[in-house]
Amino acid sequence: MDRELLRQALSYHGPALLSLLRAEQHDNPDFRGLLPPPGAALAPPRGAPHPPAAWKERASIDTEIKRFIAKKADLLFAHSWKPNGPLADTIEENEEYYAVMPPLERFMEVPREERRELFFRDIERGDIVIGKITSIREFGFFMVLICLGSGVIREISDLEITALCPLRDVPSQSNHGDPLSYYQTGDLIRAIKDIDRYHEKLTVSLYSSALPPNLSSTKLGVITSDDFPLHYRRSMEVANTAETFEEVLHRSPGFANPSLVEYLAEKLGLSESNPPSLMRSLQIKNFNEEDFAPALRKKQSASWALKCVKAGVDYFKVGRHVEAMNEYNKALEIDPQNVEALVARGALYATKGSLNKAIGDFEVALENCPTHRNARKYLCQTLVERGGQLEEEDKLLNAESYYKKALSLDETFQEAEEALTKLRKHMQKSLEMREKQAAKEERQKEKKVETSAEKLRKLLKEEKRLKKKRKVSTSSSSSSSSDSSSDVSISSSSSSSDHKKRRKKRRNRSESARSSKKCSSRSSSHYKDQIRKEEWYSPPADTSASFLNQSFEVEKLLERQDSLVCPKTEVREKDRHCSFSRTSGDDEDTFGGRSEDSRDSYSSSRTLPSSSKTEKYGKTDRFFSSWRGSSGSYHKSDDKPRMHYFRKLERDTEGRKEQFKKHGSGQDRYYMSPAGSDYSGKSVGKYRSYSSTCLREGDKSYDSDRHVLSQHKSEGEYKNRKISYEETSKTKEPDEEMSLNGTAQTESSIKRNLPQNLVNIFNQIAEFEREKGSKQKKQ
Amino acid sequence: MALEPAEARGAWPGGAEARARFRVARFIMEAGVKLGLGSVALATACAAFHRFARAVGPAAPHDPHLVAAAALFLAAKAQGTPLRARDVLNVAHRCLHPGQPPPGLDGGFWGLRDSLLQCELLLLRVLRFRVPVAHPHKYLVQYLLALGRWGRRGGWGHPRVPGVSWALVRDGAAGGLGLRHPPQHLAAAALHLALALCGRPAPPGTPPRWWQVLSPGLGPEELEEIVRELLGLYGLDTQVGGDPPAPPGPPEPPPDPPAPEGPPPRRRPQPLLP
Repeated sequence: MDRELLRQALSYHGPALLSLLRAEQHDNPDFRGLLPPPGAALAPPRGAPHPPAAWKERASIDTEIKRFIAKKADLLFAHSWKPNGPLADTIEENEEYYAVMPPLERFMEVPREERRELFFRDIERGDIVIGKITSIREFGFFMVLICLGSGVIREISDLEITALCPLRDVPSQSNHGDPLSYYQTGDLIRAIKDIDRYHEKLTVSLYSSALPPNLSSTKLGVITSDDFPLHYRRSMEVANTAETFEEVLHRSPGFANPSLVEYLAEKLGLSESNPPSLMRSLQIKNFNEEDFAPALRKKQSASWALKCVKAGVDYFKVGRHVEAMNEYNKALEIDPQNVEALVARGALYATKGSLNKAIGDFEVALENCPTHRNARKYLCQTLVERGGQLEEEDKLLNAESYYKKALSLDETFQEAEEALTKLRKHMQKSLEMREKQAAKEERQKEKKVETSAEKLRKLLKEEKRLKKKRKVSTSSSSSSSSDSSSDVSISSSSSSSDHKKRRKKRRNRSESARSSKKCSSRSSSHYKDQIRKEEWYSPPADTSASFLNQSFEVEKLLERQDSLVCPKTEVREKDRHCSFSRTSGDDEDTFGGRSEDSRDSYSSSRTLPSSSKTEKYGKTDRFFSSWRGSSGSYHKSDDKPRMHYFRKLERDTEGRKEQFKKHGSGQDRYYMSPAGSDYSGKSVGKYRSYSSTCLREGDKSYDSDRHVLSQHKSEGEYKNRKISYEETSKTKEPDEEMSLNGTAQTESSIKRNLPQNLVNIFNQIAEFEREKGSKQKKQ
Repeated sequence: MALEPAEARGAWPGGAEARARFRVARFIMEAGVKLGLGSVALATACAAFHRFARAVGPAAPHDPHLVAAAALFLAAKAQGTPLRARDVLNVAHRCLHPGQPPPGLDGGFWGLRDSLLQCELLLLRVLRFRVPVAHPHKYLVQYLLALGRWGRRGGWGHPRVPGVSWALVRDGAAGGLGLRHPPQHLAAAALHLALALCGRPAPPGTPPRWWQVLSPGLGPEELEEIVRELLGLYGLDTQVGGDPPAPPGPPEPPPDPPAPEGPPPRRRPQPLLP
């Protein structure tokens, strides 16, 4: 309650208002202490203004007003009114914004004495005055004030108010002479009121340091008549025309400004956003913020969006995912922060496999509503699922971070914890494995070629025995096959590099296989120049050491990469592997035709074939990169393609069975591959990826995989051998071979004159193949 | 003042009709505040509604609240601060059905929106396409500025005077005073009443009829009439009642139970998802 205002009103309206107030506001506790006790004489405060005569004349309206004040006293004298600050002194005089009017007294006949009194009462230090110099003395100059530049706007030109500007308040304009010499009588001066030293005697200053901050840009000193303030110029005009206030107002361009009210209301401290009213029903403090347009719109949008979400969920339930997605998107268009829509869309994304998008939606939803239980739950699940995906892609560290995030959202989320534990084990294991492998390789380097060859032979024998056990009806003896195989391996170990060359040679010269085999090592050098263009494969037999080094380097490199966050190379290798296995059949031609030139060039320069090979792989990788995604499930589903892969591999490296057998001997031996052939390095890389995929499959499938692997190995061996036989002896391949190995068809045309013993072996192999195939079918 | 003479001094209805009109005008004020409309646009809307009501007469079959909503919509456009039809409908619905959720955006809503736009066209034709009228607001701010400069530090104008006079002008617009009095008279009268309410004498050095300095055409009789009408308006506000809980203990007569106003054909919003 504004006591001051209340007292003022009471003293203005007299005791009648007091009694009315008592009657009207007797229940209002705010007024109890404020109203003077009944009977107490209402002392008229200082110079109490008496109601003007006009009010006395119309007593009835006066009473009505008093009654009104009494009724609305709680509103009228309430503190809730926005305190209107003093009229802003800084209203810019701009004709564009509002009607700049002459001072009000221009339209009233106010006696000069009263105006003069009011002027000296209201003028304050810091107000800007404008005057004309009347006389210059040695101690300063006198000026007569014309108008005021800031603060009070008054009509003073006819009041003949004189002000003194002392010498010390005149800044010197030049380095020499009297600063006053700059001024002349009649100059217009804008100055600032300094100190009111004597009553009705003004001193002014020309130093702008005395200016108030909001006027600090005002230039003091000599001005021209164009610099007069607008209101003074208006006043001069009005003095001649004798217009009324209203006429001047209507004439002013600023009065037509459509945003005049807006502008002046702000300057006057009138609030448009919190408009005052004396109507009880329109008190804005009683309005609920919820009922305002923005809140209602928001609420409406939310419910509309919710409707869309509901429709989307219905679609989703019947499996119409596209329609559901449309509904969710519509909902989010209506209300971009709608939590339900975000959660529903996230769930749909998760269902469709777009886990990253789903995670994004859930996260936004949780941001907007951190307590949303479903959002949290779904986000955790999706994070774990995504982590699992990454784990399969072998991005273990990424997967770990996803699991951790899920756990940070929900500490009790069992699944995430389990997955994380498992992942950590896995990481450790694969790390150990890699270390072991590296160590083994180190050791392997020390070992000699013979030992490994011996081992291979032994292994091969074992496998033969195994095969014999399975194969009951095989006619040919194991010894012969083993002998032949060992024979071949031995013979081919020396001449492996020239094997394909020989094939071409053979074609040209139609020699017998055996003779060609025997002379191959020699003839290779012989015919090199001649057959350079036709060369298929010519790895040097004597570059073992260099290759070993390289393979080791490659290994190291891979290992280093693997130890980083995500073993990308491994994945790539796997992909390559996979694409190979998938397409080895139809890739045949590409290999034969396409890469012949590059291979030739390589062989001519005697570079390691491994490099050319990798190049090839790169090419195929490009063709079949789409297969990457499903490579994770490769082991379970794609035994056949893998077989193809082996065949392919072996065909490429035909004749290097010795090393191959080594690989075939088991998982542990992969890295024992001896120096001496490009193949070893090659296979190390590849088998590594192979083995790592096995690891990834998990422990339970590990052993079985190895078993299958070794089977494939042995099988591949046979194939390999078979092919070598085919090629060396150029015999007709048995018919069943065609059905088993489609890839061999291309080569079958060149097989002629196969010696009898080889035919026998072939039969054996074919038999084995058939059995193998049936066995796989059973699987 | 762009009103034709017949309109300018038209008979002001009394009794039930006056109360009904005032109720709708107050509805416009309330909705306008909730829509964030400026004082001038709000006064335009009120004036448009009052002019419409006077033109079509009390027996017109129009839904007054729909006309009021259309007047708000139209006035906002006319004053260069257009509103969205959806917001107008939402707020109007909320004012008529306090506490209920905003209408769902279904067929009913779009039907309502169509009728709002149709009503806007009707309103335009009835008003002969002259929507903006002169309002006392801009006179008032200029008066306040001039008086403030004259009275600075003089102590005549309590800092509350501008606010009170502003409130009076706004409330006067709801009562349709702008249809019967020139805006400058209204502004001067509001300023006069505000001074009286704050217990302030006339500005120093002014003649007895100081308001005539500002608005020479305003005679004492008209001034008194305007003051009476303004005061009567607040009496009407009390009569119509239906106001929210007043501050403790004002001895206002108990408000009439809010008359069941014929709400516009609005569909009840369907309960949305739990």
